[in-house]
Amino acid sequence: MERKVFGALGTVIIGIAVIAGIGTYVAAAKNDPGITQATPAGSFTAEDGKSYPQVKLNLNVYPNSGFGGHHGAGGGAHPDWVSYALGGPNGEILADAKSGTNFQVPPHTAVTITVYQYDSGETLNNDFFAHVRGTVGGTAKFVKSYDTKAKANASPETVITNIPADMVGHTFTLHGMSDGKDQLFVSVPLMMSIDEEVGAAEEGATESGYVQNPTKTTFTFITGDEGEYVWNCEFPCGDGTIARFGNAMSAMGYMSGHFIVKA
Amino acid sequence: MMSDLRSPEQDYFKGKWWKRKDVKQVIVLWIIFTGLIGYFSSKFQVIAMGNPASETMENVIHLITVFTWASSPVAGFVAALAVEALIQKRHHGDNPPPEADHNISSSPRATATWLVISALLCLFALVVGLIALQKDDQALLDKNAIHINVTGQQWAWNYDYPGSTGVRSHVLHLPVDQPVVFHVTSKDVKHSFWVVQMGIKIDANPGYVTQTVVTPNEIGTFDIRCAELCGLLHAYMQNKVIVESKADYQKWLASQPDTGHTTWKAEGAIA
Amino acid sequence: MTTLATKKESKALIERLNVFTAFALGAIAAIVVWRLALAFLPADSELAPLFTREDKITLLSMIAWFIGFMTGIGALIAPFRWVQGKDLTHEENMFYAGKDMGIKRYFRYTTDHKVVGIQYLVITMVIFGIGGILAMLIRTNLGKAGGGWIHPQAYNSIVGTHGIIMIVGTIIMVTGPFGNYIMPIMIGARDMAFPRLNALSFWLIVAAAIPLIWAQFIGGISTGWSAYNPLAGQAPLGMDGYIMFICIFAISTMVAGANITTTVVRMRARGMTWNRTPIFIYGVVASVALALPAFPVFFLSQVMSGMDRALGTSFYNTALGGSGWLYENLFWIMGHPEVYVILIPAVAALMEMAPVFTRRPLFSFNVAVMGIAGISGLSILVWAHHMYMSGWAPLLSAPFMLTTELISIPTGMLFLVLVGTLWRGRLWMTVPALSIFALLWNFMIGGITGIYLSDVPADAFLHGSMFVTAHFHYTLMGAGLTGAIASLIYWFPKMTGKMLNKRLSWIAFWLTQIGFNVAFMGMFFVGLQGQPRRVEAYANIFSKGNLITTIGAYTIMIGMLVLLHAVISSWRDGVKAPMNPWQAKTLEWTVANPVPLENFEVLPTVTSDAYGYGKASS
Repeated sequence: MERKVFGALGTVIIGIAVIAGIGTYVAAAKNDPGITQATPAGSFTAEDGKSYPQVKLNLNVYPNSGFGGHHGAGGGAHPDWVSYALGGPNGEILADAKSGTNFQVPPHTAVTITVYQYDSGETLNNDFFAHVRGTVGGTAKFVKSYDTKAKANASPETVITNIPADMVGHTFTLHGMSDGKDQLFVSVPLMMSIDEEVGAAEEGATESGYVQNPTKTTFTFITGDEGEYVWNCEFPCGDGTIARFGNAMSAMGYMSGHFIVKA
Repeated sequence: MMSDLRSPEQDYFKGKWWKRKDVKQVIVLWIIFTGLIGYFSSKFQVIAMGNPASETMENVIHLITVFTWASSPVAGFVAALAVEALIQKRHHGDNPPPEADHNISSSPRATATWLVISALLCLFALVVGLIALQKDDQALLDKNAIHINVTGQQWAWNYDYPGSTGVRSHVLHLPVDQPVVFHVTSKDVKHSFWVVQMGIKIDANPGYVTQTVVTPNEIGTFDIRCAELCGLLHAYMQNKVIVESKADYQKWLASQPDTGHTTWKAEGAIA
Repeated sequence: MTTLATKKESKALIERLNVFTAFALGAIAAIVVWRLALAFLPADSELAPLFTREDKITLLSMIAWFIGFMTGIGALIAPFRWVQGKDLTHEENMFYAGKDMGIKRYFRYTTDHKVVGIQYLVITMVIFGIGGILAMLIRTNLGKAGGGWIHPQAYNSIVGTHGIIMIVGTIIMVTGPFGNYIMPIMIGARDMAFPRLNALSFWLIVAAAIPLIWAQFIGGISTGWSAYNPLAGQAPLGMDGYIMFICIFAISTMVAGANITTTVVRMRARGMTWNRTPIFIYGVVASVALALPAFPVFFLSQVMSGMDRALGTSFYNTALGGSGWLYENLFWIMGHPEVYVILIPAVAALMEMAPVFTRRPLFSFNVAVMGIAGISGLSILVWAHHMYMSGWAPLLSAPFMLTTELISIPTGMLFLVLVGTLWRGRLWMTVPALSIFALLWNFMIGGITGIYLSDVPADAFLHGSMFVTAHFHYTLMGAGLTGAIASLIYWFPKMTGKMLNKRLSWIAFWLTQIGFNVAFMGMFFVGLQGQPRRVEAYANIFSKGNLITTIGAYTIMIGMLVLLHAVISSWRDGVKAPMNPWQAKTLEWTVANPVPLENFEVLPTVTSDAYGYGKASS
C-alpha cells in the first residue's frame, strides 16, 4: 500500500513540475517582456502652483516593425505590423532598445511624453478620441512636421485641444481599472504624417526607410496613487470588418502596452 | 414497477410515523440545516454584494436573499436525508453489506408532495421575478429621466450628455435621485455596460442601440465594468461613475469643454 | 495475425492503415494544399474582402488535413467497397473488430465497442489533463490582483482553449468510455448497431484535435469558447482552427448519437422491455438525443463564422445587413441543451450505482425517467436565458424566465430519486457511494445558483461575472465530473480487469471535492462582489477571493494527479477484479473479465429489472 502512496506522490511532483514548466514557457513568450523606466527630468509646476517631480518618455510610432527595437533585428514575428517603440530625444530610432511599450513612472509625478509619429492615417470611428483629454490644461503641444535629420521643428509648434478627426494616425490612450480614488485617463490623438512626406520617403528618407518628417506631439499629465494601467491606440486599423481591432491591435507590444504607476 | 396502493412504504407511514426515531432525526436535522444554510448563504451574499447605490440594486439583493431563504428548506431537506443516511450503520470492506430489509421502489405520496412543493416554489420564484421585471420595464418610460449615450469601444467607454453643450466624458457623472436612461451601443464588438453597484447591465452591440434605466440614490463613486469579453484588454475596460448632488452635476456639466456631441450613430443601425 | 482471404490490394491496405499512416497522410495533405493555396490564391484587394486570404489558406489546409487523416486511418475503405457494390468479408470484419490483434487494435480503426470505449477513456483523460494544465495556468495568473504573469493575448487564448477542451471532455466523459464499453453489454448485445460508425466517431475526435492544437500556434482562440461574433471576426487565424475543430467534433457527436440511439432502441436483449431497461441507458440515450438536434446548429453557426472570416460574407455583420444576435441565438440553441448532454449521463450513472451501494431498489424508476425526459424536453426551450442582457428581445425575457424556472421541477425529481434511494439503505462506504453525496451537495449549490441567474433582474447583476463561472463549474464539474469519476471507479474492474486502488481513490476524492468547493465558493464571492469573467487582471478588492480560489485549484490539481497515478498503476498491476466485485445486478456484471470479443456466449434473456435488492415484505 505504502508504495502506491509514494508512487502517487511522485506523480504529483512530476505533474507540478510539468505544469510549472509549461507555465514558465508561456509566461515568457511576450512580445515585449521588458519595462522602461521614465527618465527623471527635474520638476514641473502645474497651473495651480503645485510643484511635482517630472519624468520624461520618448516614443515613436512606426508603420511597420522593421526598426527592430524590442521586436529584434528582423522585426520579429510580424515585421509588417504597426508598432510603437521607445525613441530617442529627437525622434531617433533606437534599434537596440530592449523594451518599447511597457512603461513605469512614479506616483504623484508629472509625466511628459513626446511622440514622433511616422505613420499615415485616416478617419477615426469615434471622434471622442480626436480630442486631447486628461492632460495638464487639456492641451498638447503639436508640431506638424519635425525634421529628424536637422533635429529641429520644420513647422511652428502650436497648442492643440483636438485634431481633425479625418487626419488621425494613432492615439495614445491610457486607461485602467477602477481601484483607488485616483483614476488616470489620458487620451491624445497623434496626427498622421502629412501625405507628401510619406510619398517622399524614397528621396529624403532616413536610412531605415521611414519618412524624415514625422509629426511631434508633446503632452504632460500628473499621476495619482500607485496603480496598474494599460495604454492602447484607439484608431482601429487591424483585421476585422467593422471591428478592426484584430492583428496588431490585439497583440501587446505593438499598439498597446502596460503602464505602471509605482514608486 | 408501479407500486400498488398497499405498498410497504405505506405500512412504514402508518400510525404515528412522526414519532419514529429516524423520522424525528430527519426533522431535527432539517430544521438545523435550513437555518444554517439560509443564514450563512444570505450573509455571504449580502457581504459580498456590498452597499447598493440604487433601488434597483436593493431589489436585486432582496431578491437573492428571498430566493436563498425559499430554497433553504429544500436544500436542508436533501441535506437532512443525506446526513441521516450517513449516520446509520455504515458498511466498510470489500464485500457488499447484506441487502436492505425492505424493497420499497416508489412512493406516490412522496413523489406527489415533492412535485407540488417544487411547482409552488417555481411559481413563487416566477411571480417575484415577473413583478421586479415589470418595475424595470416601466422605469424606461419615465418622463423625468435624463438620457445619456454610452459608447463602448475596444477598450474604453465614453459618454455623451445630450442635454448639454457638447459634453463628452470618460468618467460618467450622474445626479442623485434622478432617473437616467442609458442608450448604449458599440463601435466594434460586443461589450456589456455594467454599472456594478447600481445593479444594471445591458450589452453594447455594434449596429444597435439598447436601453437600460436606473435611479442612483447614493452620492459617491462607483464602478462600471465591461462584462462581455471584448478582446485583448477587456479586463481594463473599467471606469468610474460619480454620483453627485443635482447642483454639483450641473456645475460639472457647465465646466466641461464643448467638444461637440459625438457624431453618434450606431454603425449600420437598423432604423 | 488474421489473414484475410480477399483481394490482395485491399487486404494489404486494411492491414497497413493505422493512426501513424493517418497522421502521415493528413500532414502531407495539409502541407501540399497549404503550398498550393499560398501559391495560387489571389491576394487580398479592395475588391475582394480584406484580410481573408490567410483565413482561406488556413481553412483549406485544415480541411485537407481532415480528409488525409480520415483516409489514412481507413475510414473510407468500407464506403469505397459499398460504392463498388460489395461489402467487407467476415474475415475483414473480424480483423476490424480487433480479433487476436493485441494492443495494436487500439491504434487502428477498430470497430469493437470495447476497444472504442477504452480509446474514449484514454482520450478523455488526455483532454482533462490538458484542460487541467490550462486551468492551473489561469489560476496562477489570477493569484494576485495585477495579473501580468501571462500576457493578455496568451491569457485570453488559454481561457478560450480551456473552455472548449473542457466542454468537449465533459460531453464525452461518460457517454464515450461507458456509453461505448458498458452500454451494449448492459443491454445484452454483442456490439453496437453500427460498429464502423463507432470507430468513426472516435477517430473524428482525434482528427479534430489537430486543428485545435495547430490553432495555439497561429494566434490562439482569443474569444472564449463561445466565440461570439463580431469578436470572432477579428480574431487571429487560431479561430479558423476552432471552427474546424467544432465542425469535425459536431459530426463525431451526431454519428455517435445515431449509433447509440439505434443500438438502444433496436438491440436490447429479449425480455428487456423499457420498464426493465437500466436508468443509465435512459441517461445516455437522452443525452445523445439532445445532442442530435443541437450540434447541427452549432456546426452551422461555425460554418457561417468561417464564411464571414474567409469569404467576407455578412451573416453576423450588422453594418452589412447581418446580426451578431443571430450568432448568439444559434450558439445558445446548442449551448443550453449541451449542458444537459453533459449532466444527464453523469447523474444517470450515479442513479445506476445508488441501488448497488445501498442494497435497496432505486427509489422510483418512473420518477427518474420522467425527470430525465422532462429535463431533456424543457432544455430545448430555455436558451435565451443566456441572452437576457444582450438587448435582443426584451419582450422574450419573461417567457424564457418561465421555461428556465420550470426546469427546476424535473431536476428536483432526480434529487428525489437519489435521496430516496439513500433513505433506509445499507450504505456501502465506497468512493462511488460517497460520490452520490458529493453530487447532491454540489448539484444543490449549482442548481440554486442557477435559479438566481434565471431571474432577469438578478441576472442584470450576475451576468458576465465570475458568479456565472462558479455556477457552471458547480453543475458541470461538481456534479458532472463527480459522476464521471464515480463511473470510472465503478466500471474500472469490468473494463480493465483490475480494481482501482482504494486508498488512492479515497485520497483523490477528498482532495478533489474539498479543493473544488474551496475554489468555487471563493469564485462565487468575487462574482457577487462584481468581478467580470474572462479577465486577465482584476481590481484589488477581489484579491482575497481569488487567492482562495487559486489555493482550491491547486488542491484539485493534486487530487487529480493522485487519481491519474491510481488509474495508471492499478491498470498495470492492480488487484485482479472478480467478475462482479460490487454484486450488482445489471448484465455487464454477468460476463467474465476480460470480456470476450462477442460479449455473450449466448445472448441473455431478461426477466426483471436490475433493482431487485432488498426483502419483499411478508
